[in-house]
This record gives sequence, structure tokens and C-alpha cells, in this order.
Amino acid sequence: MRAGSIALAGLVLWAGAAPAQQVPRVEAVYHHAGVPGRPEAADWKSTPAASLTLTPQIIVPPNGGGAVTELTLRAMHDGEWLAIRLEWADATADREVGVDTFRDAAAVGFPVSEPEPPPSPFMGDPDHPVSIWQWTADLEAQARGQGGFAARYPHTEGVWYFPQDAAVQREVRAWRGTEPVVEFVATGFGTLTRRAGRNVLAASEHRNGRWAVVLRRRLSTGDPEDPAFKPGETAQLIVAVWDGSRGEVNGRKSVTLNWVPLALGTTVKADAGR
Amino acid sequence: MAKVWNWQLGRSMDYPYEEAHAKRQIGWVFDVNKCIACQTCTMACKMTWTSGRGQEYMWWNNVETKPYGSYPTAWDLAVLEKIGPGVWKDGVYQGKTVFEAADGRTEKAVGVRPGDDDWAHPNLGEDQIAGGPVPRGLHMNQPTHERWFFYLPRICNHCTYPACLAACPRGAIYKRPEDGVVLIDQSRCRGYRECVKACPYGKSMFRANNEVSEKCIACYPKLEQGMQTQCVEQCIGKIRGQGWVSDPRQGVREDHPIDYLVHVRKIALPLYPQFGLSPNVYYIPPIHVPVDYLEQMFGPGAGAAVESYRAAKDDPVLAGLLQLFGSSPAIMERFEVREGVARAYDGADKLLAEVPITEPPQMRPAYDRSRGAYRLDVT
Repeated sequence: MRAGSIALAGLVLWAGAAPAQQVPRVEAVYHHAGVPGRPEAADWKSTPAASLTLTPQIIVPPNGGGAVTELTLRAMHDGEWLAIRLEWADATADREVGVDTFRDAAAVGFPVSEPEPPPSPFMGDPDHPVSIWQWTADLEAQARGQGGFAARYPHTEGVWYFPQDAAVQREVRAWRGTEPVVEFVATGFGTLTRRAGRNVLAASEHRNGRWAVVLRRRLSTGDPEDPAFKPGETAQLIVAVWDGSRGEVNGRKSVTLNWVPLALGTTVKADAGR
Repeated sequence: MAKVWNWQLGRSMDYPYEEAHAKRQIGWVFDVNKCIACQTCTMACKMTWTSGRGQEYMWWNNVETKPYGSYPTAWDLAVLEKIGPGVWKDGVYQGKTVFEAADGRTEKAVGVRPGDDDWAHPNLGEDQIAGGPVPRGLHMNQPTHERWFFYLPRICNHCTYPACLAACPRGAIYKRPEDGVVLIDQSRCRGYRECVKACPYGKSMFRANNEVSEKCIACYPKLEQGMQTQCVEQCIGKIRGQGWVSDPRQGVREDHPIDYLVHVRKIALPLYPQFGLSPNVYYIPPIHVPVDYLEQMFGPGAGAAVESYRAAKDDPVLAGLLQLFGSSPAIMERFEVREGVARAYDGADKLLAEVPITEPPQMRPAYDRSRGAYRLDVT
């Protein structure tokens, strides 16, 4: 009953918002020399950019977000890997998760399979899961050996804890992994579930009041929970961004209200031009 | 929002989920008059559950001095300010609960999320008195206490209508159907801290290194064995009793220790019932504190509860039951008081404890011949 009414509200809002929002088409150009893993790589400069409009999340409580209104999206592939570069303005790099502080984050989502029409752009629906890759600034800092819990709470460093605590910490380290990105599957708001699969790599940079994040993955991983990308075809993508210092976390986020088409350039055409 | 019945408010109220009840509801009675703030409960809990990294600041059980103490800082004043003033009329609360004061869009329950500083002073205001200055000789002149403070031991209330559960956008918090214990599913929690903000009692806490929230688990591994929680068992002042609280619409059990104190005698009262969570730790209010303060904290029954407690010495059932607190580590399912002796039984009707209401005086000779020594304590 509740889920139904939320889904209905979402549908109405989605339908109403679609004409108002210009949905740009993003092209993931073919780049035979391999995709760059870093956001500052020179190759990105020659890649076409699309500007996405983000709006506050107002469909399910807690409503909120809206700190980021615009995001620049670039993408490329090399026939084997897909790389997506997100860039947005955020004056502060919030890399810390303290008792009362929140980190910056960004996520992209793709339908796990390609249904027509595509599922709800609000993290999917019960029959159509969405694969979500979330980059977070705290994991990025920890991957570089910076920040982390000890930086905020130095008095906790080197303190002896009960041995059972080691088991808990091992478990946490295991899900965090070594990349500043966590992979999820979702079937609607509030259903985000961490996946065992580890296929996405991420890197980020904060410079001149802007975050730039690159997320990349093999076009096909063989994992049934991973969407497969094919050159010459068009994938669908959603984006969400959180500004930690403004208390943005969970539903308090800036989102795209509709699927953004992501067209992967054909390798044949690019090869012919070489 | 759904309408649910809250017997503590004497009315139904808005709650984000439909009314549902556990098979039985865990509950406690704390006799504030006997608490000396020795913090043995606090340390028992700490050593058992929160001795890990990231849990340094956590006190799932704490004892604060009222009116000036609070952990986290000003947890109660902050929420009272959010829900605004409210009065009781004929036992019915006329003001707003934390759910009714919320807009329902940005939050399901009004609240404040404590910061690092708020968690850093668990002993704030300790032993500070209220009621004015203490001029020389005041304690000699006054037969009754004009100046006052009291200790308030606190754990998670395992509320019938938890705000933490209502606020979690992921449904990661649940109330166990078998005993009403409120738990955070550690595998589902994503550390959003909506529950930390929503719990008006400040009993949901965020573990920053693991990025999950944690809270009192009612020592459920002990509970499942019929044992009382660590904070109850270890209480050296014997101020705590643990058992089950009935929904008064379903009938109350007169021979059950908690039901008897909460529903039959009404001397154990919920903490800030006006928040609307129907909390399940019940307090016997301190008898030396101004009644208007007690009414704000424990609801309109505070004055009558104080009177009943003052009369307990002439009330064998009440006096006997209070003697049973702390007399067994197991949960008492039934009690009886006969011929000056109080007895408690477990679920299988096995005798757990047997306590006389008054101990007969014992006199010993002043000189101990076997040791060849004089005694100072002859009674």
C-alpha cells in the first residue's frame, strides 16, 4: 500500500518532470588508446561534454539535497573498458565521516538489464533492479592513506581494544575494499544493497572548488548483476550527488529526474577513420 | 501517517506505520529513589557491548544528574523545545508528539542530531543542586529538602512506537515480534544517522569508523535465556526490575512485577511520555523533587506516584515487591507477598527469590568470648 502510493507519486512526478527537463544525449566516444583512469588526464579535454541539470530529491522522506544543480558528464570507451567522468562545483572537499560530519559522494546507476521502457529512474523498481556505483570522498582519502577515523579522533590511535573488535574491523575492511567506490544493486528508493562483486575502479580530484571523478569498468564482466555495455548501443544512466558539509546524505541528494542516454561509439567507425 | 493508540497519552496519535504489537513487550522499572549514580550499570554495559574502536563515546547505559545533567547535552530540552508546549487535560495529552510536530517530508520525527561536543560530557552537571543557593545552616533549619537533584539512569526505552525505526529510510531498524526489543540491522544500516536525529532520548549512536549506527540491544543473548540485562543484574543499589509490560487494553497481570507497578499501582511512570514513543522503561519518581518538574518529566501521574511510594512502608505488597528488585539474575515472571515474605517465580513457576519485607532485628553480645574481642556492631 505504502510502496504503491510512493511509486505512483514517483510516476506522476516523473511524467510531469520529463518535458520540463532537457535530457541531453551523452556520447561515450571510442578511444583506441585506452581509457584514462584519472580525472585530470589530458584525453578528457578532447571528449565531448554534456551538462546535466540536478534537482533536490523530493519523492520520499527525507526530502532534501539540491546543493549541486549542474553536473558535467563525459564518457569514453576503448572497446574493452568504459570510463565515465563526472565534474561538479563544490567549494569544500568533505572527506571525513565523523560522528556528526558527512562526506561528499556521487553515484551513477544503470538498469541491470535493458527493459523497454526503462525502469523507474528513482533507483529502479521491484522487477527491474538498477546497478549503482557510488564514489565517496572518505574512501578516496583512505585509499590515499589520508584522513580516516584516526585523523578526526586521534585519541583512539594505538589504544588497546577487546580482541573481538578485531573481527568487526576485519569485516568492515572487507566490504570497503581498496577502491573509493562501492557497488550496489537497488530496486527503488530505500533498497540499496551492497554487492559482493568488485568490478568498478574509481579515482577523483578536487581542484579549484570542483570535484572530478572517474568511474570505470569493463564493458562486460560476466556478472549477471552487472549491466553489459556494447559499442554502437545506447545505455541509460542516472546520477546523484551529495554535498557532505551541507548535511547531504541518503535521500537528501541532488538527482537527475530522468534516464540520460549514453551512446557508446562504434569501434568499427573509429577504426575506419584511423 | 497511520493512527495508533498510545495509552501513555490517553489518546491515539500519528505514527508512520500501522499499529502492530510484539507478542510481549520487554519493560523495566527503575526506582530513582534508590539510585546513587555509582555507574556500575554504566560500566557493566560498557565492558559488555561498547569496548570497541569507534565506540569510545558511547554509553548505551548512562546515569545523569537531573535537572542539570544530560547525555548527550540537553537531549531532553532540545526535544521539548521542538515539540512546543503541551498540557495534559484529564490524563489526555493535548500537545504535539515528535511525530505530530514533524512535516513528514524532510523528517518523520522532529529531533536534533548531537555533535561530538554533545557526546563528550557524560558527567555534565553531575551532583549540581537546583532550587537556589545554600546559605549556611539551611540543612539544619529545614526538616525537608528545599534544594534538590536526583539521578536518572537511562537506557534505550525499546519503545512501542520507536522514532528511530520510523525515521530510518531503509527499514533497517526493527522491533522483534517475540519480545519488542528494538534493533538496528547492522548489515542494512548505511550510517545515514536519521535514527540518531530522531531518537528523542539520544540512544541511537553512530560508529564513525564502521559507518553504522548502534544502540542498546537489551542484552538479547541473555534475554533469550530468561536472564535480566547486564545493567539490571549488576545494579548494586537493586533499583532495577525487568519483565514485561502489558497493553492495558489487553488486560494487565496483577501478579507480574512490572504490570503491578506500572498499571495496577501506577507508581512507575514513562520518561517524557509526551514525546509519543510509548517508552518502556518506567521510573518510580523521586519523592523529594517539586511535583511540577516531575510532571513535565514523567507525566500527570507523578504526584500520585510519589504519594503511593511514601506510603509503601504501610503497604506490604508494594514494599515486598520493591524488596524483590535485584534479588535474582533471572527475569521474574510472577510474584506474591504473603505473611511478610515476598517471593518471585520464573516462567516455569520455579522459586527465584524469597525476601522478608522486614528483617527481624538480631542482637549480638557486645563481647565475643570466642575471639576475645569487643564488637562495635551489636545489631
